[in-house]
Amino acid sequence: MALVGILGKRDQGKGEFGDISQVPNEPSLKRTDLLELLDALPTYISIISPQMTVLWANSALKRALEGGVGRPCYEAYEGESGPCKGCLLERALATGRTETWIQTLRSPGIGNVQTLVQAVPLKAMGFDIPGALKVSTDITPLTSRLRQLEISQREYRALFEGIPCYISVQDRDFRIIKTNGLFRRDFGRATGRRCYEVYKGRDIKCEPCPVEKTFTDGRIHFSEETVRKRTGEPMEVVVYTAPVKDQVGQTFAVMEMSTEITQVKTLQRELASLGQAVAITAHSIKNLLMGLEGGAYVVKSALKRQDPELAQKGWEMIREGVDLASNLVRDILLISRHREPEFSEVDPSDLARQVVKVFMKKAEDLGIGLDLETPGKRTTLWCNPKAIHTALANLVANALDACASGSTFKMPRVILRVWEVEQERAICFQVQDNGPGIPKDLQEKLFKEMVTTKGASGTGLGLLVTHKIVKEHGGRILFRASSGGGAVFEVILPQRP
Amino acid sequence: MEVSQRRVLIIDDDPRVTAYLATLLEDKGYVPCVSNDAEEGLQKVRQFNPDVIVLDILMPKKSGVQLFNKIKGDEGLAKIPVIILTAIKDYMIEDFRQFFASLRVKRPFAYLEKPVDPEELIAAVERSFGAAN
Repeated sequence: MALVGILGKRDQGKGEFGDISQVPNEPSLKRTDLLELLDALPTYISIISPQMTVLWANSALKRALEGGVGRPCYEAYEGESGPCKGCLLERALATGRTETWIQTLRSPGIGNVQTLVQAVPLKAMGFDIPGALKVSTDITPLTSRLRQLEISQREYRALFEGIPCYISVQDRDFRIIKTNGLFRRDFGRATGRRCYEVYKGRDIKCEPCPVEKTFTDGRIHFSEETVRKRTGEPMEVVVYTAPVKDQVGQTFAVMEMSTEITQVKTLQRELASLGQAVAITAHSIKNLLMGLEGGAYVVKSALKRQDPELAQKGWEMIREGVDLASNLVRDILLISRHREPEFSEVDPSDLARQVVKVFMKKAEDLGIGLDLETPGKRTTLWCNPKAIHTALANLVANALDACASGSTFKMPRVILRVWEVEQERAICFQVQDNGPGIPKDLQEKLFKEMVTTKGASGTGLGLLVTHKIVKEHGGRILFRASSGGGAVFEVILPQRP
Repeated sequence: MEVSQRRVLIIDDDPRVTAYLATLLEDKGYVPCVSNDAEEGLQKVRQFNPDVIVLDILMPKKSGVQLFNKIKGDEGLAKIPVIILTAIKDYMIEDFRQFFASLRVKRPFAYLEKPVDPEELIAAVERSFGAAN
């Protein structure tokens, strides 16, 4: 129905809408003014009859619906052929109360428009007219923003949860208030607990604490830490702490982001140790070369001087140099080769006896007692005899060298003992000497790095080789200082792997 | 001073090195004396009264650096030139040079890397006499 039509009826003071000449509390506002005002508003406004017919529509709605007046409300607004299920406008008319809902207005020209609808019974507005005023506000921009916000939140959550770093957010009391997926996997549910307790199993805050630093200066801090997973496994991490600020720029929480670098650190240590090994090997080779060059020079000089004694000395130097070179090469090959050892069953006492036999002359020459103690009964060991021989020979040679370098006792002595560790079904080889012992700083490096107490004549490879052989046999090697000075090495091998 | 009277003390834990250098120096007309132990080396410095000392820097027990400090810290021995011998890598020699430069004691006369070039050693020994005189 045209505005003019409604105005006409209104002017008569009666008709379908009855008398709306008196707008309550607004006596100065004329009906024409009211309808013109509604017509001019940018929202979609209509008057719907109790039979759900659109009696009047403002310009904005008529433009959107390309007409619509005289058609059923459900058809004009939504293109439906029948009344909407649970029609709220109907309810508003029945109850006399305003109803609000969200409706998609299907406009042939603009497309779908999300609207917030308010249906107000005209009677509730003080008009004695059946029907309702339906005001629909376009909320499409708002709903699209809400949808975008929802998507962003979902993306943020997925990112936070899925990021391959450990993230925790702590408050000023170092209490964890938020964690991500990886964190929960490796540290468990920690919300409410203190970070130092969860990451490090400590009772008090760490010193220095990167989280505290960020709280103090509001900046990003970086540190390397060793933390413990909930399984107890240690893990080296690089930690970044960043402030979480409120609208006024105050830091109210700190985000701690940790990345595991255990493998990097292990590699770093291995490279450092490799570098050191290369340096020590180069040092050994230089000493070797000097010995060989020296031997050659001494032989040459002896021939010139016709001094057989000196020639013999020079020759010994060369021979010793060649021996050292071949040992060095053998050790380097043993260390670097990965091969399956050839196993056979042997009597460990026989093995030990052979090793002692090899060193007996050297021990006598050096004035060192070399003894063997074996169990009375025959036992067996499943091993690579050549490799175990090398390992024991390294230990005995070291013990003899240690005694030769100055024993603290009157009678320097090396003992190789063999016994069966029955409860472990293992064999223990023990090499004990009463030499000067191994300095404390070197003890920690034993079996890990090339360690020597022999200066130019030692390469430090021997113990590494021994360690490798023992590990290949599934055994272990132990070191302890002997009670009366000197060193004790024990190689414990399972009788059968 | 006659070459034949010049005395050179060689201190190195490796007997092959001392035997080699002693033969070399003897061939060149010097009077060598050897020690394979840093502690014994200090006694030999006092007994033998050398004109120059050839000292290995890396030795077990007492290091060459410690022995060097003892020699240079002793008023009677400090003037004896010391030639440092080492098998450490050449770039580390610079570190040693700087380390000695940082010490308050006198500096070594020369640094030679193992394996030693015999001519270089003789040249360094010769120069040291010039410096001492």
